[in-house]
Amino acid sequence: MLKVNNLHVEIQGNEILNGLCLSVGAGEVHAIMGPNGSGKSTLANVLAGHEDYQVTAGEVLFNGSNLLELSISERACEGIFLALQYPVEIPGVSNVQFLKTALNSQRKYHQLNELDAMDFLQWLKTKVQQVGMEEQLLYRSVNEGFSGGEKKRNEILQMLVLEPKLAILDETDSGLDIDALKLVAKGVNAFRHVNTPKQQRAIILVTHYQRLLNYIKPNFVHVLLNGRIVQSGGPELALELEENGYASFVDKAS
Amino acid sequence: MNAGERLLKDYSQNKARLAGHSMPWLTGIRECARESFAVQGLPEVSDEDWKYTKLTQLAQANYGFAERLDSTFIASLADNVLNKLIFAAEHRLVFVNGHYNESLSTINLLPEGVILTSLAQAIEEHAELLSSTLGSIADYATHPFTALNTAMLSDGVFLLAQKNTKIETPIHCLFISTATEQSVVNYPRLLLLLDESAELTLVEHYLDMAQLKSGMAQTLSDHNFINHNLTNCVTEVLLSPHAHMDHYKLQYDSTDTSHIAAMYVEQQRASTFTSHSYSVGAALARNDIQIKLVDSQAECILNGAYLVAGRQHVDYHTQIEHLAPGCNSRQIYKGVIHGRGRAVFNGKVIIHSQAQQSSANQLNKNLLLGEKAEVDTKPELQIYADDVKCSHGATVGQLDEQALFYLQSRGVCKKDAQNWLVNGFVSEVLKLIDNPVLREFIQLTVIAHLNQLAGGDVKSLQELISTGEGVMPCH
Repeated sequence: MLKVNNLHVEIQGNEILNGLCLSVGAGEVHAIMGPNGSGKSTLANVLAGHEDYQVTAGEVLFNGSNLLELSISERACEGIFLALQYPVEIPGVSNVQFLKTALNSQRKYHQLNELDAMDFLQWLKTKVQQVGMEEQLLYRSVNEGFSGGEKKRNEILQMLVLEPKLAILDETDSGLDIDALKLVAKGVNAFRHVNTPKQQRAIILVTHYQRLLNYIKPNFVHVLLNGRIVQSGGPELALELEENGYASFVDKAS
Repeated sequence: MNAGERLLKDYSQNKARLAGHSMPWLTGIRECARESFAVQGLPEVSDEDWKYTKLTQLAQANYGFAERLDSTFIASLADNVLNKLIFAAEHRLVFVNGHYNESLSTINLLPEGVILTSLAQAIEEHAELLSSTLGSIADYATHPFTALNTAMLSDGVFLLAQKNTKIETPIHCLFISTATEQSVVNYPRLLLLLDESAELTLVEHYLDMAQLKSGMAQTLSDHNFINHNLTNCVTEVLLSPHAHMDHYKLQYDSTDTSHIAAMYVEQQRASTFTSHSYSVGAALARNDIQIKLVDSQAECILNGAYLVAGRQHVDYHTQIEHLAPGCNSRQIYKGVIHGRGRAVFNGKVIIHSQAQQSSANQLNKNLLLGEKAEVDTKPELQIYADDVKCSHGATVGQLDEQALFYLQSRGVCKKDAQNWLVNGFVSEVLKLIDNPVLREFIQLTVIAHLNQLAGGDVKSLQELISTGEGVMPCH
């Protein structure tokens, strides 16, 4: 589904990713771990098309076509979803308007009929229950005055509504208490397990902590260090990191 | 001859045509105001209150007296304007180029104790009432355009709501300007008197035919004029104890014209006044809002938004005087400035020494969308009492890049994402409108205009309504 080859990325002239390679197949869950500043969020943002990041070399193929040529919104419509580490507040735009506009923009892109308000709302409410969100948050401005946990749950809600092919969760677990973490994980698993052969979904989990992986079992774990992946393995790699930290990989990298 | 002198000449030539020209009490007021205007002259940029607002176009124009239109044209207005208004008012006073038009107006049954008429009619029928009130709140000594309006006043709205009267539905005062052969000045004057515990909502709506895109092409091509009209309007409001008034103003004049407005409000004990002011049209729009909280527990809330583009210029000058203890004032104004548009906001609050336990806050936020767009915002607090709560804030910014990314990352194209953010910015003021009918009406007008400024499809209002949410549909 996603093939990243030798990706080099700069922000304001500083190289953050240098030669990153990653391959994600349909139906797979990949966890990307690494110390602060290793480039995890950069990878997440660059895949979503954030304009602050310049790709200086390498390629990214998404279902065989060049992702880097697409605009931010085109990537979203093609099925890339980024759950933000710090979800943005949008004063004056209600959550329900936001979700409906986003969904209808994507439906329009795929030449599908736009959903009307009633149908949409009915369907939305089932998703809201899945993430254990209070319904009244739908009618508030997007993320405005939401707690940390509510913001993260709102990201998961958007994911469930938009049904992307590849969801990239950028430290969605940070700042969550145990209960909120379980709810988020439940939402992600609900998303993950709707894997019909026709619509296989992949997830990239960017995280600092092994804890999240107790609830969302990854197929692969990668260690990102100094802008490239230095080690890949199965779930046991995350446990090893939890035990020993990144020290041994730092030595390896240098 | 300069513009001020030309306007004075206009007065001397036409004063015999003004309503009540033979009534000494009124000619006395007019003459004094004329004198005051002659002394003050037109404001210059050296005048602190007009520092950022140049009257170049106005000073060059050669204005004449606005004549009444013939009846066939008036009839076409009913089709082209009234039937297309999406808000049905039970009480509507319609003015065409400053003159009250009875055939276009509707005044349904009013509660006993309410007088609602055109000013021209009130001058004839309620001379005694008017002679003791007209001009008593609008201080023309420091505002040349208020002096000019007072000298030239002839028509407008007179409203008296006696003790405990309540008018449930909004009173719609619609001032239509049309293309004219010569540049003209309209001088609407509103005198609104609310006795103790009276309550009502009034809408002051300025609309230029040139701003109506559909249906008017035919009529407009018949009159192919480009003129620089001036609307010089003054509103006087007196609120007796416990009276409550919601005042709405929607300024949608043609982008060729100048709109210079002043509103003066005097609030007695525990009266409440809310102003919702939306400035969309006009080449130059100036709004002075002066409020005096003269007795305790009075409260005023001023909300507004201004949207300018091209070379439009908008200027809000608010002044709230706290003259008694325990009064509240709150202001929030938001501006969206496209292109080479320019906005000025000056919010003055004066807390006099006797006005202890006053609470006053003020906020002005601006969104600059054009590279050459400009804002001059200035809070001005003068506090002479020591037990007060006052705050003020002003921001000037651009669209939040991170929010733009966020919207796009959910599949919304860049242009729509920008529109959403701008709409969201303005919506924070729009949602403060209590009356649901007016909220929808103003929301749709404003959002349709924002859409148009953003270069989107010019959605007709009807089309926007059909989305049922008062929000911009995604295209």
